[in-house]
Amino acid sequence: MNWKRIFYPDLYIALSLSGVASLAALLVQNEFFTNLIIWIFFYASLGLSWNLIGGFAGQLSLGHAAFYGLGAYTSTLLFQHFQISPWIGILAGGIVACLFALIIGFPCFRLRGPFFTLATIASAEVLRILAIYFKDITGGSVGIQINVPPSFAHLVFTSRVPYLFIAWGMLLVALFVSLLIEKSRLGSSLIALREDPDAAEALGINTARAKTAALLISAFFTSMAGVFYSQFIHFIEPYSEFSLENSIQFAMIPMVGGMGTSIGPVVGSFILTPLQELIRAWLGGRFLGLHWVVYGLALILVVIYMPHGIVGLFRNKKICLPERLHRLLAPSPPVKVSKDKNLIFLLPHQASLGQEEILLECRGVTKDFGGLVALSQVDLKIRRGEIFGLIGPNGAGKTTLFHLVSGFCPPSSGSITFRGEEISGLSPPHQVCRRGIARTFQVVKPFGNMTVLENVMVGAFCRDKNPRLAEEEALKIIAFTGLEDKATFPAHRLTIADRKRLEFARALATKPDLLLLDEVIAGLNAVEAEQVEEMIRSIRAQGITVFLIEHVMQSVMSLSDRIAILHHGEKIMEGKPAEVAADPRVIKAYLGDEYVLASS
Amino acid sequence: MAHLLAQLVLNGILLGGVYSLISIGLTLIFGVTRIVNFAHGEFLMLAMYLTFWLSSLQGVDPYFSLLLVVPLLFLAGLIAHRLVIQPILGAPSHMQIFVTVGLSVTMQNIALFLWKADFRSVESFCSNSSVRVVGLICGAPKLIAFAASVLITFALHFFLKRSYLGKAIRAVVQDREAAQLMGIDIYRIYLVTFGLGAACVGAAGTFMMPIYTVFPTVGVYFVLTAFVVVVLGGLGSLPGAFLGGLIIGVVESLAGFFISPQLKEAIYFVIFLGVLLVRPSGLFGQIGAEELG
Amino acid sequence: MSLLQVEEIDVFYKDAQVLRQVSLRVEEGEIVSLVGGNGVGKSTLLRTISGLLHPKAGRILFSGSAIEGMPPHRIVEMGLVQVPEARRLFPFMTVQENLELGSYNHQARAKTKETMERVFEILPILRERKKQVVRSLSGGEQQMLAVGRGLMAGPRLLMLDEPSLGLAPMVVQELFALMARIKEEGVTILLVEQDVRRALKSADRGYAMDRGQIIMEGKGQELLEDPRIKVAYLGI
Repeated sequence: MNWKRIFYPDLYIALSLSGVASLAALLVQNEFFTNLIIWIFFYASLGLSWNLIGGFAGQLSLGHAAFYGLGAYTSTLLFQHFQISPWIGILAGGIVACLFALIIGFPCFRLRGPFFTLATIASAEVLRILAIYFKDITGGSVGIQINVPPSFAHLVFTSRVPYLFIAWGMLLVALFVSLLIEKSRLGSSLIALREDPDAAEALGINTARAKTAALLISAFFTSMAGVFYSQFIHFIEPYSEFSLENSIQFAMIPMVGGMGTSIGPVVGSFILTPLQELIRAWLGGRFLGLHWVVYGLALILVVIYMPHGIVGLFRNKKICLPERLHRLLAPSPPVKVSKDKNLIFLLPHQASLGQEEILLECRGVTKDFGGLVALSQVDLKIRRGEIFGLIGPNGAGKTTLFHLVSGFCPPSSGSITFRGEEISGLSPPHQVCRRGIARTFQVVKPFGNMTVLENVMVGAFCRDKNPRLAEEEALKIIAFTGLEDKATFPAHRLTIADRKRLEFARALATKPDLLLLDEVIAGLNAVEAEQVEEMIRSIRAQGITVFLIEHVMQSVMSLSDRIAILHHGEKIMEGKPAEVAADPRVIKAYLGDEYVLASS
Repeated sequence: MAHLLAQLVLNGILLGGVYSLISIGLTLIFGVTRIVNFAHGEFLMLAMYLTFWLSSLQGVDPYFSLLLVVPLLFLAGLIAHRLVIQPILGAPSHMQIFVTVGLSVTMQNIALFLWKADFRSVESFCSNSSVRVVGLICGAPKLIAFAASVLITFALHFFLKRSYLGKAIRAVVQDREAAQLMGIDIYRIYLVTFGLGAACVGAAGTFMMPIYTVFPTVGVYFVLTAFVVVVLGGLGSLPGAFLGGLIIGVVESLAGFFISPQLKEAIYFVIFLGVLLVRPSGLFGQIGAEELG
Repeated sequence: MSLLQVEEIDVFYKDAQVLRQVSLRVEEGEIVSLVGGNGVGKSTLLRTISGLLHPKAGRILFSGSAIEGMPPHRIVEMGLVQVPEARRLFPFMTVQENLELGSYNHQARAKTKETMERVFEILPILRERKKQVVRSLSGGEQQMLAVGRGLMAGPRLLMLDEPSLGLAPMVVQELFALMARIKEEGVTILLVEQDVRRALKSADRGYAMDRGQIIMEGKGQELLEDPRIKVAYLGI
């Protein structure tokens, strides 16, 4: 574990901000002010927890109040009935919250967008209603008053100062965990699946498992904050614990500060919490509800005009203060990019396999979409070490075949075997990737908000769990594909040629046996096309088999050992490039039958 | 026993009519703009307050306020769409969610600030009368609300089927780009649809006022129900919203009696989660609509 | 002044350039064909002309007025109509409803009944199937309907994007006969096609595209006989 990687500007900023705030609270010794600082730390840690699933993974939950309330009630009830210390209650509450997360979260992850959000709202609402209903246990809407003599074991104190330190501790723990995740393989998986779930699966990421992991951690820390609340305010009731307003608040903090970064929720809390308290103090008494109006308007304006939050405003500048600070405090050795083009990309087992082996075989593969037959009885054999081309007019079914081979949809009939193993119908796609088939997409799917390096690392993480190793591998591939000058560019800034290169590099990073390339050359100019052709030949020389779909005829003809042509879902011919180009059936498929007659 | 059951079912159907009325606007908006409007309940709240103030200040029966409330809500829908929704039409869904949630919170609290948290209600000429139908009893206001729901659903359905504008709206739902190539101004269609959706929910508010009380957060309660109805019936489907409303009404009525009145909401949330997991497209909806992400 | 003039447009799709300095012109009364392999940008060009995409540079002039940057419905109103690739009919509506929607724009709306009569005259099969829902029509009938719908808008210039895609040869023949008839009615045509031979044979002039650029231009017959066309498609 490279600890230097953790010392990012985010940590320094958060430490200094919170340190200064704590110091100020201790010196000023004003109860209102100390309370304010406590709330800032409190909401920051809640924001950080929410951010794990909402920001990194992009799953917008508006039901986090469920975990919050579960923490508060579990710990309070355990103490009331069994005199168990709230410190243990934190653990217990966390476990209960995690269980709930598993019950609700895992099935709900099959939903996307607003449907997921609606499901989370419904879950929290169910808990709120149950909390009111089972009033013998929970005290119903009347709530539970926590009247205990102050002591450390009871997690109740007369002075505000211990609470300050506990809240600070919560913040630091949440921040530390967030940073750890952000820089780890899990973080990479989460951001990838947020940006493009299909591309993430195709690179070997088990998206369901990653989302669940993030939700569990998020639930645990959220419930921890719930316990703190109950011990701080000494009173809990269903509305203040499980309400939708809470959930909205937990989400707003990272939204305003900057979702998807670790520093965002901290900044968001430092700005929003004092604002909220001030407005509430100023208006709340006389003008009930006005502070929420301000909140609501702020939310609308921030979303429309600052979609990346406050942190996003800074990150767009070329060289900003945090970067300079980072270089000053944690100088890392310059990134060494190897220019050695003869790199071995393969996994150890691949080098020892025979040449004549049939790597991929399709037998009678048929796919129909409710009446529309996309593929019909397609037979193909691809040998290890070949470059196999697939051509055909628009709508012939080429990309559909790729979807079947890579696990994005199952064939209606027929079989697909890879290295002798039946893979047709294997799902989700990450399972196919793990077995050694990687693919690119016809319409490229870069992870726009990640840098080129981070993009390629997603692929590398498929084989290397360690971030440092993954980074090394990624850098090698970046050099090989000629993207080294742009390694730190965010992917959305790349030209189409570079995006295709990136897609190629990313797939290559998963160290596949078989690489499916879907139109990587179309749209490039002659020079760029030449470069890509070189790369393809080079990786074949190292033993990777290539199956490519292409419209740029010059490239397909010059690259492929053999070519098959699809037309209306059927394979009409297969053979060497020269044979295929001269065949009248092929000419007819592309140019129309009168052309054939006229030119023969 | 059978009599009791029948009464419960009848109550449920009448209640369901109310739910249908609220949900029609929501499903229409979603079908066309593909946006899930979390602030839908606040338009209902607005309509109810308007009905309340109009009838208390003018001393007229609340049903008359329909004449003013519906156009006003149409206008409110146009304004909300232009200012808040239009900027985020092409945005990723998480932004859309936050914006409509923000709108919801804002509207709720403006109401809280202006009109305080007290519960308000009005009386109508028929508030205390009831009608006997096939030996069963139903309150007159509820019957009127149900009749309104049926009428409005039919009217909307005819509008969409027969009128030129209605066909254009359906065209936009079926193929947005092709509609543009026909010379249809899709932004104007979105605007009108949003206004229509708001107007529908406005009518709902007026018919509901003699039955319910209004307070600033009344929208939150009903909007969650509306979402359950719309998902059950299928997003974007008018008959789905109508039928879904009736089903939820009956479920609530039966659950309230046989299980517990306090748990009835929990029950249909559980149904909601069940529908989302088993058949997210609902009874009549377009498959694939639920995978918006 | 040409009816349609595209001057050196650059079009980007999500930060990536898909059309590079593309220029072409269509004179009133002509049939102009645009050919080229898959993915070279033909549909993108039509979509840009129709206003669904906006060029980052260059101009598009229709009847002398600049239309780049205009919203699509205004462009249709001016008389520039597209019959999109894969027809894009409204699947759950009837033949008649689809035709009605074709003349949604204000100019054409006044003459809807009249125009529909003319369309039924040219395409009698549509009159027969007036009340049928689109999904129940055959591929050829759907294509005819798509063209008819385009005519309902009262176009001066009709753009057709790969109308012969997926159709049987006999139907394709009827389609091209239809285009000749439309030309007689005074409508100018810009045709994008995969069937190179038919496209260039019926055209007055033609353009060939490759990788986002226009690579050849000339009279229809001349282009057809040029051996470079085959190379552009098949690479050898």
